[in-house]
Amino acid sequence: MRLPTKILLLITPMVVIPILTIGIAAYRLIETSDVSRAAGETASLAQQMEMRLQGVVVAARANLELFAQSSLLHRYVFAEDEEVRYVLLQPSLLRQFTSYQQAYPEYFEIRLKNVDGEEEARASMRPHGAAMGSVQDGPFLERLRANPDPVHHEFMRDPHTRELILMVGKRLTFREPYLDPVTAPLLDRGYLIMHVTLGPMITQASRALRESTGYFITDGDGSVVFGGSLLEDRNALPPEQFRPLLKSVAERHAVSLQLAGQAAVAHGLELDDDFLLFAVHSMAATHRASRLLGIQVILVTLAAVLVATGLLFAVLHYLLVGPLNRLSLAARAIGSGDLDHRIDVASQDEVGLLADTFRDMCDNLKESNRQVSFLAYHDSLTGLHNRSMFREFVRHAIARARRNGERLALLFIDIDDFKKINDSVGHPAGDELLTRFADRLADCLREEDFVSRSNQARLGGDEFLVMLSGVKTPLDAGKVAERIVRPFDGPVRLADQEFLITASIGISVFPEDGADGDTLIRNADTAMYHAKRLGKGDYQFFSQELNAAILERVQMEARLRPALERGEFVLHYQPQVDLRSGELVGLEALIRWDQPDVGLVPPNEFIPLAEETGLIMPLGLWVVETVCAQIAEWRARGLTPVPIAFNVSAAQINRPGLAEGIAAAMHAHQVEPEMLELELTETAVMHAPDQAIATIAAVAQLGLRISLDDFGTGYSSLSHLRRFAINQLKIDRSFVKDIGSDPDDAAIVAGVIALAHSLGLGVIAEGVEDAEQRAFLLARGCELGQGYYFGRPEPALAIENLLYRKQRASGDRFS
Amino acid sequence: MHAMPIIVVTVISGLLLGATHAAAQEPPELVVLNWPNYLDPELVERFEQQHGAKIREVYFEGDDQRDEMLVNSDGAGYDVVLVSGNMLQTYVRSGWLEPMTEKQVPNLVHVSPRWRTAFAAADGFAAPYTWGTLGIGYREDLVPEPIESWMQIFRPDPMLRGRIAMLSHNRDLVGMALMALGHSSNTQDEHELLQAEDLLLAQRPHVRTYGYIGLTPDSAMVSGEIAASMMFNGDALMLQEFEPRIRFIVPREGGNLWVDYFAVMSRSPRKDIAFAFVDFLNEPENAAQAAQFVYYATTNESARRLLPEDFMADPVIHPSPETLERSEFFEPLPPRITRRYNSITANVVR
Repeated sequence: MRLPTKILLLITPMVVIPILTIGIAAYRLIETSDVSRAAGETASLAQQMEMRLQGVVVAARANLELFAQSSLLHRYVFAEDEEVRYVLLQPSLLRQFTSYQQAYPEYFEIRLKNVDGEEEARASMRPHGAAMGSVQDGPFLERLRANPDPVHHEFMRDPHTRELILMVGKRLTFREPYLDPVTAPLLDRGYLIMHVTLGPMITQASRALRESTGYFITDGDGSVVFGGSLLEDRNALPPEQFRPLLKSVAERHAVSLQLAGQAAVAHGLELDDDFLLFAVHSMAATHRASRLLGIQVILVTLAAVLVATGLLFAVLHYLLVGPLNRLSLAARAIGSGDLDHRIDVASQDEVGLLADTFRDMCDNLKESNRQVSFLAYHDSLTGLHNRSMFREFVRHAIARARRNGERLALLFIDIDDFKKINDSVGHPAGDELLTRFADRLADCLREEDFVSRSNQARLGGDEFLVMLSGVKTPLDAGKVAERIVRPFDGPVRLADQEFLITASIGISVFPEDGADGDTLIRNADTAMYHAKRLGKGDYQFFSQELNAAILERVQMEARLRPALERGEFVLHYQPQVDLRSGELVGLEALIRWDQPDVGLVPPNEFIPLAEETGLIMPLGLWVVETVCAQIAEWRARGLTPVPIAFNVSAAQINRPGLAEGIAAAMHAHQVEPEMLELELTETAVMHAPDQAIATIAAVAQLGLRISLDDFGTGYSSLSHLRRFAINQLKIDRSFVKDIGSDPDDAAIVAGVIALAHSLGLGVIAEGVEDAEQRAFLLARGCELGQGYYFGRPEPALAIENLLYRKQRASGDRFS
Repeated sequence: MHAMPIIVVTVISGLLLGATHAAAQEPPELVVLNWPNYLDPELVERFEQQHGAKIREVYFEGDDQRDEMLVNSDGAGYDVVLVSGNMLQTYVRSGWLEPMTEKQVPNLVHVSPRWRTAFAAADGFAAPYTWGTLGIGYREDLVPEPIESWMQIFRPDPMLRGRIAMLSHNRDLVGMALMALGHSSNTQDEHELLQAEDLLLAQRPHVRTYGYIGLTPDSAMVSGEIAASMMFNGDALMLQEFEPRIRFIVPREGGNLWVDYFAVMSRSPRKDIAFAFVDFLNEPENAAQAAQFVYYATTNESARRLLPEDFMADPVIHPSPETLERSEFFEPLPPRITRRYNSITANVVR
């Protein structure tokens, strides 16, 4: 998580610093503005209070003048008799004073002094105020007397309470009565003095102020006369506090100072000669507010930082880190080969672009990998596998073939004179030839229907390899090679020239020619060179025997074709006897090839070839024809023929026409169907396509007996027996041979006999060679037998004798 | 030139004559400054008929008010004034009183000398009228227990608070406060005066009024709004006529003894009629009638014999010797002390 950290470390200061700077600046600004505001406020407050006090002064003076007008006061002052004054006049006068005090409670003391300064009457709102001793107003009276203005006021400390009061005094000067109003002299008859209390008024005014503002009044020495809410009355301010206050008064501006333990701003002015009035604003609350602001700023900053950090984190993570991580994971995955790793980044921005590039890169990698892979294993020109791939295939095929006991054939193909052609037409044309050859290879191999899989490779240059699996006989591989040696049907046009293209092929066979791929390839290569030496356009097996076999087969095939026309085939017949009576009950027709220069060739040597070449059909029909003719001939000779069985191959029954041929032959020679019997091998019937079923059904329809030959050698489903209209089972000779010694064979034979009987089929045993076998079979209930014990296959002539004998001694038994 | 003064004199004479004529045709009016309900109207009427004069009664509520009224007019405007004995001297010094002897008021002879000399300046300037006590009048059904002490109204039970009336005259107020505290009502002791001031100031919240309640059926004590008041003895009896449950007591600390006098004002323009009125009042029958009307003890010796037994026997009207023993007359005080009393009173009665 380094990237976000880095970015945050970078951005956080950028967020924090401005906010903090602004906050601090704001704080400072507020602080100074607070101070200056406080200064202005205190100045104006001081002035307001001054004005109020002035107002009080003015009012008090005016009121005092008014009070002094009272006629009662006048009379009192002029009353000579003390008793009259005190007893009669004073109560009323006092009542008058108290009525003034009811109207103006702040005039808490009103005193009347005589001209000598002695107290005459006192109305005091103070508790026990009336009882207090007379006040020595000496100095005040002095000043009152001295003042040209009859009304004189002073701010002072109350003599009793030491509170700040306004003392107002009026010289009671009256014109001497009863004399000329103009010329009569003025007489001082006394002084009317009023104490005006200021504290409550100031306090009241203070109440209207904001909290933390207030007034206080000191005398010239710094002693607090009125402390308000901030200071204690009667305390003296320490010089360090008083000095700035004095400065404020002198310079007419507010000062900041520490007052009563708090920061404050104060503005002072002179109340009169003796007293100083101050309006003060405690900065504590303001500072508190500022501090609160400061804290709020800090909190806001913190919150902003946290929120911003959080957001940034989240955003970075979502937009960058997450995708980057995913991309890095993807890169790692791709690096370690997982090219299908999904890149889960799909944003529309640069990161998304990077992801797209990644995906493209991945796809390109995949593509390259594929190509490399392909190139690693394929020939770039033809698209066929290359050597290394082919070797892999060979290895796998060998393993599989070994497991299944199958054969493999490897074809090593070399185009004849390729170098010469390449030189003559140039490389591009040469490459074209190679490509076309490769295509043709594929075509040639597709025609082969018993080769289940083949693999082709180009080794380089003009060499190709083909591997055939599921090869039954090596000769099948030869058939494939046959097609390849002359791949093109005519000349090939290459760069305005025509060439006849041939290939030389070497074939090696697994497992005979090698147990591993390299050996097989090497041997195939050798065989190929052999083929080249023998002449172009040919194929050679590695195994000489195979080559010989091929040769022989080719030769035989060449001789087989005309053999039928030349009448080289002959039928021999082997007797089929009743095991009990020994009577001849039938014959099996067996075909022989009487080759000139070679002799009799048994059917197992040429029938397969006949089946492959398609000769089996005419051959088969010839057999039917010959058998029918033979029966007709014997009949003509006056012999009683017995039914003759003839073999039919799978090839014959898989092709249409068999039933028709048989029918034609029967018709031609007037032979009844009961005289003919079809012998099918179990294996032929095993894989019976519909055609076979139809053919057999048609033959059965004709009325021929059908016999299942070599029964027990193939694993046919017993249901087959029901499908086909079988009449008889022929026990294979391999079971009969060891009947005496092998209990399993004996059991099988017995079983087959029982099976046949239970199904209502006849049973005949093949290959009966001795009496013991005969006895066994007889004991088990087998009706018929065939074998050397009863007679070998003989030509027709020999059989004739048998027929004669049979006819002569009907009931003759073979012992 | 000479014609002007002649014209003036003529005009003035004519006016004077007219005035005299007018005066002669109009019955002369006697202005009597007195407490309300303190003169039997019958007597007034009789005098008016007998002397062909008209009496106009001007009332004051308290001695202090009377003093103020006289101060304000400097003694003018009134012919006969009812003065409490202790003020006579001061009035004389003010020059307000016309000298009075048997010469002007022959019936003075019926007045016992005792009363004629009870106060300084009484003899020679005024004729005694009635005498009595100052105590507490109260509604016996509106007090938690019968009143026996001044303290019961100076430090009243919650039941009484706000239903107390006090006099506003300085000697009465301060004096009775002093007596409540066990001091003399004539004390000059500052300490005692301070105590009295405190007592009075403390009492203030409970006092309904510093004024004398009326003596008519719509008196506050009749209605019950005032349950107890500083009161003159006879006034309580007068109120009893309207509300029988009113009682009077001179508290055990003692009360004030007073004597009222009738004086003729020196600035009275009808002195002769004034003297005739005072003389009339001192006729024994008239004095007896007057006393019975106001329920006060008469100062007229001859009238005493004419008063009924029960009147004479009423302890309220004629208090017992013990009561008399513990009560005081107001004595004159030095100016300084008077000032003190004045200040206290001024402080209390605002």
